Amino acid sequence: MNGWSGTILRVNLTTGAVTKQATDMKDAALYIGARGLGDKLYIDEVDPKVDPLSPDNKIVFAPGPFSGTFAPSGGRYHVVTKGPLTDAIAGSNSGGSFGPELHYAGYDALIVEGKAAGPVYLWINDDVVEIRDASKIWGQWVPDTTDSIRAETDAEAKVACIGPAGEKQVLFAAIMNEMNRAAGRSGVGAVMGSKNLKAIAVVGTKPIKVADPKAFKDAVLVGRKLVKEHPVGGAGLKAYGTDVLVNILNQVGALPAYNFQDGYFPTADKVGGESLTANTLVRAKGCFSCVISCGRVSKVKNPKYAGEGEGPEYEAAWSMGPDCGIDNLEAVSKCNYLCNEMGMDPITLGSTIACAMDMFQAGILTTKDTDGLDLSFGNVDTLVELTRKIGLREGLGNKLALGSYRFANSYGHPEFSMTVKKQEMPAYDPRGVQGIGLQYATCNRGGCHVKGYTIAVEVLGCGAKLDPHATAEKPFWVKLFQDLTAAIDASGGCIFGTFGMGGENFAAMLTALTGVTYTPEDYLKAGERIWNLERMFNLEAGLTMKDDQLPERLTKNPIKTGPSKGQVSHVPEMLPEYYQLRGWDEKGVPTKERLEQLQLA
Amino acid sequence: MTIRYFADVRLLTGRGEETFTKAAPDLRSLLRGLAAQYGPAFGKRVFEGDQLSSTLIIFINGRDIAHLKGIDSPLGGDDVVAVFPMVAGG
Repeated sequence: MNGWSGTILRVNLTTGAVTKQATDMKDAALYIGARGLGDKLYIDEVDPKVDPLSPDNKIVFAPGPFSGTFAPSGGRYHVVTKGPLTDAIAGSNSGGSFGPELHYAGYDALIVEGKAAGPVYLWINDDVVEIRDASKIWGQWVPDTTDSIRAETDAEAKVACIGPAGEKQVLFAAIMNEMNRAAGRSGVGAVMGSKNLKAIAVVGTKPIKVADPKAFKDAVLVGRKLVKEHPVGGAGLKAYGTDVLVNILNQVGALPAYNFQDGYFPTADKVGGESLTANTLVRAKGCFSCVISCGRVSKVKNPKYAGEGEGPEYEAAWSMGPDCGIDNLEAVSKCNYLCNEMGMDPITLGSTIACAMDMFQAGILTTKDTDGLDLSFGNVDTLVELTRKIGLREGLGNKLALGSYRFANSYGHPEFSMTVKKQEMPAYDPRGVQGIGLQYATCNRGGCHVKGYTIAVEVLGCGAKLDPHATAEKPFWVKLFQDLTAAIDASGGCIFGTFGMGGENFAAMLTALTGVTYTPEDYLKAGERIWNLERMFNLEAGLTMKDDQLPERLTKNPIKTGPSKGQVSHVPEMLPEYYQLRGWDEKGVPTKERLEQLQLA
Repeated sequence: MTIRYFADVRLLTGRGEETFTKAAPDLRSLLRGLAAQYGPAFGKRVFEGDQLSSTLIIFINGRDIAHLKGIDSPLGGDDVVAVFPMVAGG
């Protein structure tokens, strides 16, 4: 057994049963691990029509073969469940060191099922697994939860937990590990909350066996060198973090502003990476085995917004900044700290507040609906107060905790929600960058950038330089990025490794580690298999091609100002070619032939 | 003409934005003018020999010069030139 640990851990919170089963090595070879093997385990066992917050839903935590090795930036894990925000497959990926520790404990995946009678946490100490009472910890925020559980278990334990947002089932609650790393999107934290599962603490001491140590070392050293020598992987991300993108996207006119009313924000520089570096940065930080260090340890001293922690990342700086008409970095940082401490996805949080501000501007909401708060765009105090109220589900925050789609729809105006599959889109305006719009529309977990990051070739010139306003060839690139990312996610790798490495490097490392031969084509095919498996789950859950659409605002209302003025998204024109490339029929359903090719039939 | 500098390029100029008033009919002449103004460190950052550095991203009015005429892209008085290092995020 090389690369994989060979054991799946299962915990039933209803019965208290803890069992172990052998990893199916045929499935492991086909789906690799993490996102892929996690998908396979979950989808084999759960009815796609399950209520995500019911005891019948399950949640899978899975490291990949790389997790815990010295593969570059190979320390990630994946959380798979059905997302309560999207009612679709949810796959939330996180770094830190929780994933490697779970792998060291000897597990390729942890399946949690059922619902505990009261608050509990799991304590995994290699082979010994306990369900422990968490009633005294319930209610604590993420930092206190982490400290409390370490005090009760092991000072070196790696802890993944929820804060009050997860307990109260905010539909975009995150799972936080090592306090500041997040499996953030689609509401996976609410699923933990629905099961009364406060946290998982892990200590692992077992080795990860390597099939061909010399070949693995050689492949890893090649990969590390490629990343270190790349201008982005080697120096760019460490120097300014992901927030450096604020100015780039603004300069191409694709930084959404005012809930996507516009694609340009004149004072965006104030919340960009250059400002963060100059004003709040303490140091750069990397995850397990990271050679990049894009993380930002930061601190705000201004008493009004005082706090410390990590971030904001680009997405958070945008969603709680320009998307809300705000350019106050200290306030945005404060809200980002609150998201980490309460356990929430800042993308959906900021975008949901922006949606409410938009509805307030349109006169649909008045102060009678808002607990007396002035929800005008740009109101910094409202942003901070609403962040807190959402995390605790107080007043208006209780309604906003459902995300922008359900919130806007409850007032009869779903058109104000900037979502795909009910999940808020990230920080790249699809009117100014065409391919990323197709990625948003077709992503299996709804509005998401990381599972098909075409910005690399459409804006940043990494690997190719495509015209962001053009649609030609974009379906090809979207499919390629989606398939490659699925394989990297499944391996336990970080997609930032692609700023230097290609599929052939990942495949070489995986082959040497596991002893299973993956050509670059095999590796990409594994990604395509995972993508189609997720697609089939969504279709069986009731989603259709109607869910592969962007909000009408983006296809009908041109960007008003800035360099992309006049542009609209052309997703509807690109979608048929995308379906064709995927081997799907005209309604977006995978054909039997393609499923057979992928060993999914 | 408005010139905007970002990330480590901004450290070389000591400013985020300036108005460039000297004659610069194309990007090459603009960058040469800026190299003269800011010294060898700036010149080394933007040029690799006669060619543009491969680790820079330059937009003219929001369009990557790769989709214009590269370093020979023409410039006018109302143009906005943005100079970035190759960076990324997510």
